[in-house]
Amino acid sequence: VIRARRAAAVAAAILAARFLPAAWCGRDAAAWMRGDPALQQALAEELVAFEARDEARRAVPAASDRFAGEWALVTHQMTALGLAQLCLAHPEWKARYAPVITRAALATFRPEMRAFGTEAWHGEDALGSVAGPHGHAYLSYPALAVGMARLLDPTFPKDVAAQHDALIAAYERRLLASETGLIETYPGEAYPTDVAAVAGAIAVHGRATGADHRRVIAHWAARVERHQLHESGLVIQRMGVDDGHPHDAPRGSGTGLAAYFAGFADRRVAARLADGLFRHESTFLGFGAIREYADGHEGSGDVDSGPVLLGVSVAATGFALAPARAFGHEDAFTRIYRTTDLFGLRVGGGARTRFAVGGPIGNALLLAFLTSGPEVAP
Amino acid sequence: VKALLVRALRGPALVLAVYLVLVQLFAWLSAEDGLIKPSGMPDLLVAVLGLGVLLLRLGVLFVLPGVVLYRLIAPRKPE
Repeated sequence: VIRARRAAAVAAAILAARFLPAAWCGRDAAAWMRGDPALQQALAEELVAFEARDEARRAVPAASDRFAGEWALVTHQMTALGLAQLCLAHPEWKARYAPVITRAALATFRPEMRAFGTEAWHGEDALGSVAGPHGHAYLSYPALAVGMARLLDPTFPKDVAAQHDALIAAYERRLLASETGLIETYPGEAYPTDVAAVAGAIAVHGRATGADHRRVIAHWAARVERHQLHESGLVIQRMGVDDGHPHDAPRGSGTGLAAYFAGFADRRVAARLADGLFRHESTFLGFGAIREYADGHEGSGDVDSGPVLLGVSVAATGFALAPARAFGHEDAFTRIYRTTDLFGLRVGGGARTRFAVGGPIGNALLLAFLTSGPEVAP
Repeated sequence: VKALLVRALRGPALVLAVYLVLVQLFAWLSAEDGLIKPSGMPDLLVAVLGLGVLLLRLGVLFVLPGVVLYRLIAPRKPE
């Protein structure tokens, strides 16, 4: 009897470890998937508070610190995109969030916010060189945010809208001139993920202004499949612009973010990238995470992927939430959300909630990814 | 039964209480930046606390329920 009770106790302990953590960490997954307004609003309010704090502080990253600059830019961009997606899903929230979307989008367009890119291009400013041949694809992130702001806020400042028009026209011209469907982010470096953001920005500009960009979107979509997509289903992280040669491995972080950005431009391309991404999911005890490198490739973590542990990356896993929700991969969404909750450490509740580990950039990214869907092209 | 419950739950409850206090402390200290910034960790205290909280969270979620169940079900050692 003693031995049987001890065996039953061990079995109960094992079953608890198998099922309880997954159940606890996934307790909100279904609510995020179906777009629970209370959850969405609680995270949105955290980002509204961040934008107010940032406006008061006007924190400016040093031009020489490329990564700090990219993080600041992405934080404002993702805040704008996340809030814009909420407004598309809940038009009655527009009065509250449209001014914040515009403020966040305008922050991404400030010259000091792109100083890291200007420095990388040896002093050439992206908006001061729209007639030139250099890609400056990093500015597609702000361009996408500004496009969504213009779509939702009829009072968006006209002078910035004119700059946006000029930038989009430059991107369209550069992309149509590229045989590989790639344009440079920094000198000699092209990132398919950034070019997916370029395509997204062009497409959203079309939605906001009525301009017809179908030709350039089709040009880009055809070249994603021909030049940028690896047989693994992941996109190459970094490539040569003219020859289309890979300069890095096919990676999950780039593919996850590209799938999100591609959704703004072309639903079919985004769904294809999502399928490739989910082929690289690793699961354990009901938790899911995305492997950073395609089979046959290996490497360590960097600023794109975040830490890579046991082959899976923080960024690829977080990015995967967006296509999982947008394209209805509910089981994958649930498994990946459990991992996000486990390591993201959601705190607060009621009126405001946040993921404590990620800080403002983590919360902005998660707002955009956990509410992805309404922005996807028809 | 009461003695059995107290014996099974006292230690785990203490661990859970410490964990919940540390989570709130970490949430308060990391409100500005989170655990990681592009230039590295925000500061040593937040980094150590954050990693400690995450390790404790793994223990609380994956180990603690099993410990409680084991203590409730397995036969007690003779006094």
